[in-house]
Amino acid sequence: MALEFKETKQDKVLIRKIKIAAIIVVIFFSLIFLRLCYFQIIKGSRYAELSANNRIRQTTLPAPRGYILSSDNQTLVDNIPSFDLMLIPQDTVNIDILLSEVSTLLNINKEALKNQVRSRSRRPSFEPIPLKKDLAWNEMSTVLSRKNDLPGISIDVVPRRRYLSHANAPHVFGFLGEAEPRDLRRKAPRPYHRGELLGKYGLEKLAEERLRGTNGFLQTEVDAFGKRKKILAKIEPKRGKTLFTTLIPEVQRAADQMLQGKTGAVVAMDPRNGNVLALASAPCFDSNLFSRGINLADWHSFTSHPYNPLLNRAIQGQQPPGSIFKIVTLIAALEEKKISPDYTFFCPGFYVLGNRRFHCWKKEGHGNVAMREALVYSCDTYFYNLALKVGIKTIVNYAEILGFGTATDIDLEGEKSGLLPSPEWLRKKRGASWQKGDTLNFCIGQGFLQATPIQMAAIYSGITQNGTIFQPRLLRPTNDESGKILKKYKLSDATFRFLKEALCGVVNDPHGTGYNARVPGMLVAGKTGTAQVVSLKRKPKKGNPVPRHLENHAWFVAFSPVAAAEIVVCVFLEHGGSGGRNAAPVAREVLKAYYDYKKNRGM
Amino acid sequence: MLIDRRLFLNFDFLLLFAVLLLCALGWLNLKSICSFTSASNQIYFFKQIQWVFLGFLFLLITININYIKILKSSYFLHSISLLLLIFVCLFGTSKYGSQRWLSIAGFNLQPSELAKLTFILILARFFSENMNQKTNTLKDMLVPFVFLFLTILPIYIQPDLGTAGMVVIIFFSVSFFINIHRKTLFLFVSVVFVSFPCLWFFLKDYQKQRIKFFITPELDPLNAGYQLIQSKIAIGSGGLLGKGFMKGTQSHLRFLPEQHTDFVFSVWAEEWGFIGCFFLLLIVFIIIYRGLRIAYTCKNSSGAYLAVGITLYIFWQVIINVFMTLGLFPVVGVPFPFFSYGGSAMITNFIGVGLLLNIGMRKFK
Repeated sequence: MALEFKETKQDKVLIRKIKIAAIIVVIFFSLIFLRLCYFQIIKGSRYAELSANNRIRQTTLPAPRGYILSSDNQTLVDNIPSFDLMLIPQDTVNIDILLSEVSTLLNINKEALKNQVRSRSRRPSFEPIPLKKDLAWNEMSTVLSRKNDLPGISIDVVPRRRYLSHANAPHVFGFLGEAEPRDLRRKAPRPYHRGELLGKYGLEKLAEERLRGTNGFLQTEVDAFGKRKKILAKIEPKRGKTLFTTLIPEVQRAADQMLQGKTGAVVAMDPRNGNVLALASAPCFDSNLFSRGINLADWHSFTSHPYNPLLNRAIQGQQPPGSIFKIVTLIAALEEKKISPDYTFFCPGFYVLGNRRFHCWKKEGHGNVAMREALVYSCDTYFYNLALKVGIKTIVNYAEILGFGTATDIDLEGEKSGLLPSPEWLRKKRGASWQKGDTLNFCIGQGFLQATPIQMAAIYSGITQNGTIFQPRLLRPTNDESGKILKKYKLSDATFRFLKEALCGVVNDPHGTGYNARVPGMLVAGKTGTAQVVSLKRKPKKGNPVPRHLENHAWFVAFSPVAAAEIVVCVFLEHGGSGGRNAAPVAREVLKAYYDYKKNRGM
Repeated sequence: MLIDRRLFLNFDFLLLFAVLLLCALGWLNLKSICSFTSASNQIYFFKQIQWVFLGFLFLLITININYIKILKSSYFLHSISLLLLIFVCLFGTSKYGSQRWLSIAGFNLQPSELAKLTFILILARFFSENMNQKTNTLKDMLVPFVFLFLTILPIYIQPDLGTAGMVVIIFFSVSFFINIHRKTLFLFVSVVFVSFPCLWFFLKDYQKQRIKFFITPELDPLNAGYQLIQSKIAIGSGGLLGKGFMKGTQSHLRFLPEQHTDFVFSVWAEEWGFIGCFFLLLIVFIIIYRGLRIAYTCKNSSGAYLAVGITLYIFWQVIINVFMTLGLFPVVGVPFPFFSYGGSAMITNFIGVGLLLNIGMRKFK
């Protein structure tokens, strides 16, 4: 294909248009020159000044985090202003002299200050370096009175997270920490910057996106000494969204106080919707220590603590539940109609299986006991007999139905799911076959079985609701008040009726093991549990003190009022002794706090 | 190789000299930028020399092939460009979140740069062959619009809206030179005005933001707005004579982003002042002027279309880049031809100038 060009013919239109194009080009160039004249000649000195003084400073105005409120909208976590001493290297005249002055003024080690400055030496010199966070009032006035002699020093007001003491729940609220490299790399809609604090644990971490506000910015023109001359632009920081929790501060405080000096956990929840009214774990820590970046000494005091305060025992502590498990064996027997509740077994204080004796907790024995008494007195021998009649498979089956071995999906991170053993599990995991002895241990909640306090609270709340377990929740939904159903199962009404009556007897029968949990004026039901750590034989003889690590775990689960329960309390004391003597009084105080709260509110 | 004496006589030495001078100034400016930024940036300074030499090599190759021959194979060349574009969409290297780069022998190449040039070639050929001697109506414009659409689509998918926009600008710039019926012209103008707001929906979020911030910089005094303020301070503080080579404080303090590509002009303006800017823009003006002159004197309409296409392509790049730094246009990432750091763009621009020289040399043939 040949191209045919009109070689000689000049296209007049084309020629004319090239001329027009040339004019357009000239116009555009003139525009540039006019603009350059304006910037460089007319406004030149002004821009030169801006540039020489450098000019334009940009500072971040950190956003306050959202508040955390209780179920009745009391403030549990808020922010208070904190005054930080900052240094802008660019504005200093002699940094060494300045640091000596600051060190004498505020009595800080000069080397420490120098190190702080040195660690940031690779950053641009207009970026402020924090010298001391959280100045006291007198320190601040000292600095402010000398401000003119301290070029390059400034005081920044930043919000600091405050966890109020009237509802101490560090394991729920969690704490803040400085953004780590992986937080900085994370592609958040609003990226984090170096040194920014973000939620690292508990609700602070879980609801980070919600609680985190939007930082504001301040763009100022400053003079050569870093003094602010003019605000050029300002965007106010926006506080994060408020978090509405289900906690009742009074109940939380009672739980927290009852756990003082102990190791363990308390969970109180409303079985009707899963609202967690209190969640405490001991030993605990002070979230406030983290609010401005925790210092090394405090951090070491946590990590080297023998009982690990950072562990949330309410959701992460997995222990054999002991006798509070007995209801499962009982339900299995009733539902499968293996035995009449009136049928009695004789308890001489032990049960003989082959050549081994399985002890009842009461050495003298309970004599002839029927089902109700067996639960009220927590007779082990009765349940040994019962379990062998019912069979391990059935018990495991009911344990699973009731909620053992599955996490409750509470809105906190790191929840453990406990452990529900079975003959198959034992074969697979340990390569051993299930013995009858294992069944005997299992039916009274010992051996391989493990459960967390939140799990036990959820399982008992299912009993009170005739087979509906609501997912425990710490965050109150704004629109839908009804809870989310975690599990639903069906048992006969007679079983539930019998169980509630018997559990009521545990607390209210003068010889019941949970007698210590009575609350004046209110009917409480519950079950004690004392999980053995070692067999009785290996314990020191009577009179000798028991070393802590051999001490039993104490459990108590209570619910009240019996007919229409509105609160379930689970108490777990690690190596805390006896369920009836040690754990039941804790539950009582928590229940009392709940009823006092209701009375004060006129509910 | 330049056997014919006429070829030598008609060679536009001033144009070539201006281009090489612009490269030299760009290199000088890059040295200043690299002298105070981190070590990793030093590489730009050395790589730029390579790019200039490579570009010059392409220029020499280009002027030795008669441009009419090149025009003859223009459809083939543009098809290759489009295939490369599609290829890069599928297998290209990702950079800044869009796929535009093709790694060949250690060099990252952008096929979209090449596509702009071949697009000018097919337009020049098509216009001179089919639309030169008459008043064109809407029906005649159909085929060029298909060309435009086919070229833009793979570039838009990458996504590289800056280049896609540049292709549109090239298209209208070259179309300006053909004779269009008044009614059709009126229709075009109204369609453009109507479709402009519709384009908004095709933009990505960050692009919308840029435009928003350009209109109201107060919305974002931090990023885009901040860059603009710093760019203005850099240019303004240069004053009449500038702060001197390697003495720019705005750039020293790293206030300016993308100094080696988008904001080279700000760095230059700060260090060399109004006089320096005048000189720099004078060189650019010479290049544009000589380009238009080549088109004007060309006896061949296809050569003329090609020459105005290439010249205006260079012109618009300069205008957009400088307008960007002066706050007259949103920051869209168009580099200053021959002056900014760049590989693919440098080679494309050199080939473009090679074509200009080529047309100029052979205007009487």
